[in-house]
Amino acid sequence: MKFLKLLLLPYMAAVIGAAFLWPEPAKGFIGESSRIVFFHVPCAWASTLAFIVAAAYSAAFLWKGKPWYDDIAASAVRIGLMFGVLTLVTGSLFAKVMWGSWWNWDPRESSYLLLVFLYSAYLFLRAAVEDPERRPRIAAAYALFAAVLMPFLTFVAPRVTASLHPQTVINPQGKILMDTPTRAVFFGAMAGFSGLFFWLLSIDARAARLRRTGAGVPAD
Amino acid sequence: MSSLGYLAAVNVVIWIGLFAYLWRLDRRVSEKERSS
Amino acid sequence: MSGLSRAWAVCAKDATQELRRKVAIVAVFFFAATALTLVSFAIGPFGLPAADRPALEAALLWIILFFAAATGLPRAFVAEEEAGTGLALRKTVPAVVVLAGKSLFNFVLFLAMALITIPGFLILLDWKIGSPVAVAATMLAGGYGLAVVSTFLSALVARAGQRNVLFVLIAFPVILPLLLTAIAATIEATAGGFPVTPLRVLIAYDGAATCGAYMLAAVAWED
Repeated sequence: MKFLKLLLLPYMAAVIGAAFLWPEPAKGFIGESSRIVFFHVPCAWASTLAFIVAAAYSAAFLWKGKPWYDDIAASAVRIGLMFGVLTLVTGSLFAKVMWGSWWNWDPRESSYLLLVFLYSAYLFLRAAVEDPERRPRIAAAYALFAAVLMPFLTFVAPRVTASLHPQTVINPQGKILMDTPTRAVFFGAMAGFSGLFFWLLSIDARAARLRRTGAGVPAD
Repeated sequence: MSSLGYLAAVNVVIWIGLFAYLWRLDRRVSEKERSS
Repeated sequence: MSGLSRAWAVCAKDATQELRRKVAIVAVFFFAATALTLVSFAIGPFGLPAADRPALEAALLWIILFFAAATGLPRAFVAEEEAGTGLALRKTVPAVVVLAGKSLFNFVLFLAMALITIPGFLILLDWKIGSPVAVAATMLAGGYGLAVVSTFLSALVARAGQRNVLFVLIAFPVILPLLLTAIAATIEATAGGFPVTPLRVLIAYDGAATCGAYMLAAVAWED
């Protein structure tokens, strides 16, 4: 595990360097702005991954009752929120360059904003429930309820209405319209950001467990 | 140095800094886990 | 007593209590009336172009309905806590039954609100409905989803702090897909068409919300 974390340093450095230097900028984009795809999309993916992890561990917590699962779920939401905000910021920068305005109420943009609201709502709910026994269960119930209804947001809205969003990754034809260098850096970045997510999750969840248990860490 | 090269360099430096910070955090959490 | 009749009993109990005290009902209707008047005064005199009106009116209608619901519906479980009857109810009636009963009551409350707000729109804003059947279908499908989700979420916040703000905050991301779809359906209904796709989405949402709420009811409404 330690080796993998160490490896992340040169790996991501290579990905970042390559993002600026290797692939050519894509056609149909203004200047070099298509390079944002190497950062924006992996952030979006990381926050989606966070959502899946949070939902899965919320379910596991309700089923098995191990507090460590709740630590993971809450950490996943916190980190997901961070990546979500980064997604919105990078997307907004791109929108300003491409279309001249920071925000366009494009369905995909808007459903993403809503995901960020959802994470915030979850964290607010946790903060508002004072009873430490009930808090993780209430939070888990909300996370799962939201998970059941999220597909309506993320899949219905962008599909039903026409979208400004560039089609390179998820498009009606279902093909990936990228040349080889772009594809290499893109998937490299996706893997790297995923690794980064899991590392951040590990740190935050373990810290949460320490806060919860005080001195001793139970062997679960 | 081209402007892209400059951007690449700046971002890599930022990443190295971020990595160092995360590594330190990880170390501190591990120490606390071991000692308790 | 079977589950269904017990659920009906919960609903009837809530209805009787509310009709007796009238606090929630009055609050909800006053809110709807105030919001309606405000909206009418704000956009009525300005003579908006005909092309823009359907979307604006549909959006305003659902915003009013949502916020009026947010005022009244969370009381479903909060009132129990305040009256001190929450514990007794938890011990005697299964969570799913309580959820069903209170959802039903909230659904009826929502429909009553719609029955007052829509004529208000017709009169004050000169709202034109192309297809009354479609509007009715949208109110039923949208209102049901709103009722189920609001009832479930109000169970979650019943014993938390900052309840009013908390409810709106946690309801907003979850209910927005429903509101957007309902608004789209209403726009099509006022134009005279039958909004097949939005209604299908609403029904799917209602189904998903119902499943989710019933599976998690015990967690939300427990000791």
